[in-house]
Amino acid sequence: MIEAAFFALLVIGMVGAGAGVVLLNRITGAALLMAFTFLCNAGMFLLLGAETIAMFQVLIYVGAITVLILYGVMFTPQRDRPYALFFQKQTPLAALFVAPIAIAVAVFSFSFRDSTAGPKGADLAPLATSVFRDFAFPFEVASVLLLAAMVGAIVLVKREDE
Amino acid sequence: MVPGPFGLDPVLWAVLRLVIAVALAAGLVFNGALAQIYLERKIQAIIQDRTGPMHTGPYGLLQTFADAIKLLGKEDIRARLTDHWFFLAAPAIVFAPMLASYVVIPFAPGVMGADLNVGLLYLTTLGSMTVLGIVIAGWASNNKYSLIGGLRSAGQLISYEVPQIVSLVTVVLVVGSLSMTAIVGSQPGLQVNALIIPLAFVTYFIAGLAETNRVPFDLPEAESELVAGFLTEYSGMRWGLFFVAEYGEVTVVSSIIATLWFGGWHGPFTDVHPLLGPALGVLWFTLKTYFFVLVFMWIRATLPRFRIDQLMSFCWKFLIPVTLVNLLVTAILVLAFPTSLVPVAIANWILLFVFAASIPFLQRRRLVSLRARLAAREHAVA
Amino acid sequence: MPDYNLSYVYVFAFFVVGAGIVSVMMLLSHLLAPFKPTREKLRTYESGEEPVGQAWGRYPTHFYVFALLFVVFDVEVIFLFPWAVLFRELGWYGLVEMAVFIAILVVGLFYAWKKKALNWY
Repeated sequence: MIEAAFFALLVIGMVGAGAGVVLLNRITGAALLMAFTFLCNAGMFLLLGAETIAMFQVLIYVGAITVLILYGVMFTPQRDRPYALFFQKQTPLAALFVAPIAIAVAVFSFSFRDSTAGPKGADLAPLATSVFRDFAFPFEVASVLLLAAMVGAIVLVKREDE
Repeated sequence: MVPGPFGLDPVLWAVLRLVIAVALAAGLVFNGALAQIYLERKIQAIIQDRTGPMHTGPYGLLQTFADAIKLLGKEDIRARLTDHWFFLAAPAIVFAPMLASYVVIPFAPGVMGADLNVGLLYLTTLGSMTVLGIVIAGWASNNKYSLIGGLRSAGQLISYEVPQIVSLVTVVLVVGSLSMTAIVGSQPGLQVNALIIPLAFVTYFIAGLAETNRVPFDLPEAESELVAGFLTEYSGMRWGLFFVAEYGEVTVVSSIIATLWFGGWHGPFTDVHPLLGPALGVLWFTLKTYFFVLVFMWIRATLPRFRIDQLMSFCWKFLIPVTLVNLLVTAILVLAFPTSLVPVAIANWILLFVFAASIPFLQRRRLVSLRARLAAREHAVA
Repeated sequence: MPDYNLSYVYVFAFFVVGAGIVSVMMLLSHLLAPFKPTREKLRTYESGEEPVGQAWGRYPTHFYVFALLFVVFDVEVIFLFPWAVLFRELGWYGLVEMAVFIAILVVGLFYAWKKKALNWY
């Protein structure tokens, strides 16, 4: 009962904030609503019993990526969007393309049966064993990907300076 | 759900316990801030060979009450161009995570808000949410000083989160769990973790100084730099809330140090009596925490301030490699000697001495290279 | 208290109370304090000079480099948490994996150092 109430709150928060990100005129407001969407996402993970993933979500997305995006927004010439993205000429065409995909996704998600979830809150140990034993190689590839991101950012920033 | 004392209904007891926990935490934060403001002024005064507040109440004890009442009554000056909602929300984004940190702090064996399985991870997550509040505060003031101050402060905070978290992970390596009660439980008697992993303690202490914007890392709040940084446009109670949040954060960092490295609530006579034991545990815990708070204040009265580039290069070029090396060495030794912690302790103390001894050595090298560069430039000009 | 749901209700309650305390303080201050805005008081503060131009403009890019380096090291650090908890079960194999992971990222840090990207100016 209480879980359903929290779930409803989180859904309203997430969908509302997501709509706000797209529709808001002020760009920094959109960035901060995006951070709120991440927080609601973390709340969803908590409801599912994945507390470690929820903490990781807040740590990375709200703590690091939002700050990165805010830094990026503050470097661009601050001219807020004069009108929301909703009232553009391509809206009917976009709706035509997106509608069948959205209907398919909705039908698919309603056809889920109750999966056998593990006990709540015990997700650190399975996470560790699966990352470090089953998916060890993708884990190392991820580190190379991060290295590429670092090097790419440094090269781009240095080129702008010189 | 457990039934409460005197056979109370479990649901009623859960709600009552929650209310008590929240009230206690809020009371701790505000009274702690009051006490710490007074202590800070007195300690700074004593170290600077003067008397500090003496007039309001006996020995100036009522000084912070007077300050608080003054702050409440100050006019709320809001420059016309500020972004209204974010300006209002920034103190809340900084204050709420700090208050939420008190849920997992282990005061005594039964006296704890909620023993989360990932207590330590939860604390670091809350630390990273404060950064967002400071960026918003700096931006919403629509003031060049505030914006630069806020971005600088955010840069400092995010940089020092990495060595902070790696130091915490070193402790988790030795203990084997993220839950705060398990960490306290792994240090029975005098076998405190400070004797086993002192280098992690030192690096966490330094990173904690930087995370809470305390001297020598208090560039964002310094009065002689950028006015008051991101706090420039905040007056009255809003400023007061930021400061209560800062002192609350100092208390949280000190209690993490006391828990992880100095045994938390352990102390003599804690298991004597089922009711008196936890009370004594709370006493020991508070004493240890406030010892570190006093050390923070002592450092404030003693050390000068770092420049922003010194601060950043110290973090990225020195602290992060040191903490990563510490982590790997501890990991190798814990695996190599699975039954005893003595080799880990020996290696860690050696690393600590190397760390402390290398600082003057590196400084001398930097000085030599700077002088060489200066001489080369003069030679090129002449 | 091993009860999962109750623990997170505590967390949520503490957050709500934190925001509530801030609102109450603001309200108190609003009720108790005078509010007489004058033109001088409403100007942005610039040490007595007149503020020139908008507060936004082009800023040096080193902020961005540090933010990105922090994102990368943050991702590294979140892999450290599960590894440290299950450290003894993962044994030497896990240690070598994590050492390789950290080494690759330290190479990136070293590259940034050599390219002078870590200088704050």
